[in-house]
Amino acid sequence: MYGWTGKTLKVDLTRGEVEEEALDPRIARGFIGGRGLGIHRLLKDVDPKCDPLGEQNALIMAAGPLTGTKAPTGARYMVMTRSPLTGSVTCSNSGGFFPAELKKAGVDMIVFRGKASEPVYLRIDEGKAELRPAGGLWGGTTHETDAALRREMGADARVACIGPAGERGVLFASIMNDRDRAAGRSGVGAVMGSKNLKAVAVRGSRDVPLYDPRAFGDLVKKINKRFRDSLKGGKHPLHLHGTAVTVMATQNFGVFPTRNFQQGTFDGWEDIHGEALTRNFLVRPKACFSCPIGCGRVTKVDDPRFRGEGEGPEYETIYAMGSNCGVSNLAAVTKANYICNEMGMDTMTMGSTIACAMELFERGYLPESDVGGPLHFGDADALVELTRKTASREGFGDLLAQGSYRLAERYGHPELAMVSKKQEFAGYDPRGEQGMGLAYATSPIGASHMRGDPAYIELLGVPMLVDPLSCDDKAEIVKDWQDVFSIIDSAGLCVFFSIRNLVTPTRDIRPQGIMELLNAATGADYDLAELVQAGERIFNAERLFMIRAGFSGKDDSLPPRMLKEALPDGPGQGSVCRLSEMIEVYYRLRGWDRNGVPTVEKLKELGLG
Amino acid sequence: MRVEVRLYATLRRFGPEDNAPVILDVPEGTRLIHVIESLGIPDDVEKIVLVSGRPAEPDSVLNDGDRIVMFPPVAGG
Repeated sequence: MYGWTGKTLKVDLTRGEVEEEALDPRIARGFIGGRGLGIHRLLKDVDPKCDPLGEQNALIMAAGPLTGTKAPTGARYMVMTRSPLTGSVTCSNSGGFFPAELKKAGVDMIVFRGKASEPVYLRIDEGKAELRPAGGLWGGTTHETDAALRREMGADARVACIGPAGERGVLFASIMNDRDRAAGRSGVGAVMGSKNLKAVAVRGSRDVPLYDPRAFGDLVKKINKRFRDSLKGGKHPLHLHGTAVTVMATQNFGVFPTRNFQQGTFDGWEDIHGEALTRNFLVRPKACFSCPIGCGRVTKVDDPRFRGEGEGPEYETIYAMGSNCGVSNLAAVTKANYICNEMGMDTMTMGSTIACAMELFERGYLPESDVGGPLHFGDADALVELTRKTASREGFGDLLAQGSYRLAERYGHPELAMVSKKQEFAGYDPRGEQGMGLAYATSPIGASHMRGDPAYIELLGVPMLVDPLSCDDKAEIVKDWQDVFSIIDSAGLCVFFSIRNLVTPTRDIRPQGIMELLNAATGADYDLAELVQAGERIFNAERLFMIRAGFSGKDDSLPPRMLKEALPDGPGQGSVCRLSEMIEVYYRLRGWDRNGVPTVEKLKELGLG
Repeated sequence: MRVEVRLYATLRRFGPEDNAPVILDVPEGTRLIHVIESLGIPDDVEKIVLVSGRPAEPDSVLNDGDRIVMFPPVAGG
């Protein structure tokens, strides 16, 4: 096979065995790779009602056919499993260098089943895979684990691992790779920890086989040149200031979530904007494998209260731990980010859960004695301290480790958790951005900005700007974008590059450039209609898993604050999210019934029946 | 009348070196495009332009006290 290596590793942790399986070319074609192959496997092999932290659940790591190639941003992989945070499917995406290394070692996908009796790690050296004891690594931070395994295998090895948070079952534990890149969301790290699997270390030197290397090389050259020309001699805003540059857009559109979504603008925003990050803490930008943008931030904080070095923060971290907690101290946000990276936790759910606790406290629902001290919005020290305590599940941190929904429910006010399907929102207030509300509500993994991210078209002008406060056409946009994002994720590409350089600059973003790359790499000879349908198939397959896990259309919901409490400030002042205006149209476009369940005809059409 | 202009990220280069907000005294009836031209921002420089928080067309007529914000389209959060 080309593009795909054709090899899946099936790892039975209970028996301690690793088996190889050949990839079925028909399945590869229909599900593309990465996220698509992952959901195909989950649907086939995993009981959607299994205990997410039990032996029956599977943990899948899957790269795409373009991962590890010279395709710009061909750096991504997906981690898929049944989430312990949401109970639905999750697919958590990460870049860096580990995913490309996996492909260079000749592996498309790893499927972990069962549970090891003692801590282990999977070592893949070139083609050879084996489980090894990881007792000495257990308890170590992600940075310590990365260093120890690369000492053993060689500095050219790449590592994905969990930290102490994943070992201790923090429900939003991440899997970190290359030290500071995160498959962050939905608790994939807790699933890995429940299996006694500490790490995957991989080394490979084979080029990913290409169907037509010359055509592929020409295509890559053409795309890179077009990208360079578009910069007109300047720098890409994401290279200049990282994703944190997005603060200028969300603040000025009034959708920058502040104090647990009680406001849409934040007074201290210029202190936590990407420009402030560049000015105060940036050491250098950093790029993932084969990426011409380089949005990663290597940073250093000298302030003795929050001293540290590492990577981040990203925009989503700045919203969750900054404005959403009322914290304008960027040193504290950056420090809390470092702790999350080293302990292996999702910064988004961590910050949003602390924000929820702050509101519970300020409203008098959460007693000071439970927290161990006062917990007001704006408390930078509490942000850092509680992040630390969550990783170790110490004191109040043990409650925070369950995420905001379970915390708010325990104190009798689940409506104060800003979640959909128990997963915390991203950094966009859906009252000032209607399409984002629909995207949060209908994402199969719970609230996420990476399932058809309408912020591009509603705020960032990519590929054009549509009115964020209007519901017109949002159902069509969200459906089209969700399907194309499924393709991007499955191919192994990064959304940041793809959305401006590999899709048509039209409202329905047709994946023309991705198709050309896939065809040259794999020889699959997709036409646009078939590829778009593959994206739709993947999205519906995830929906099917979600439905079988016990969800229905009534779970495509947002908290009452979003639907009933008007935004008090900013350009969207006075508006609520008008989800009901959009969702019926959306279901109809999707070919789902009124309960949000894919119809038999739709499933048959997609080959999922 | 007075309007305030704030430029961010790659558009900073069209503003003052100290990055302070630009306060402009302009006659009644001034359109957004006049302000963009007076700052020397070429047409082909991609930008999102908000006037008091709402996306605005180049020929929009400005009002006293309008706050104009410009930033490049970015891809990613």
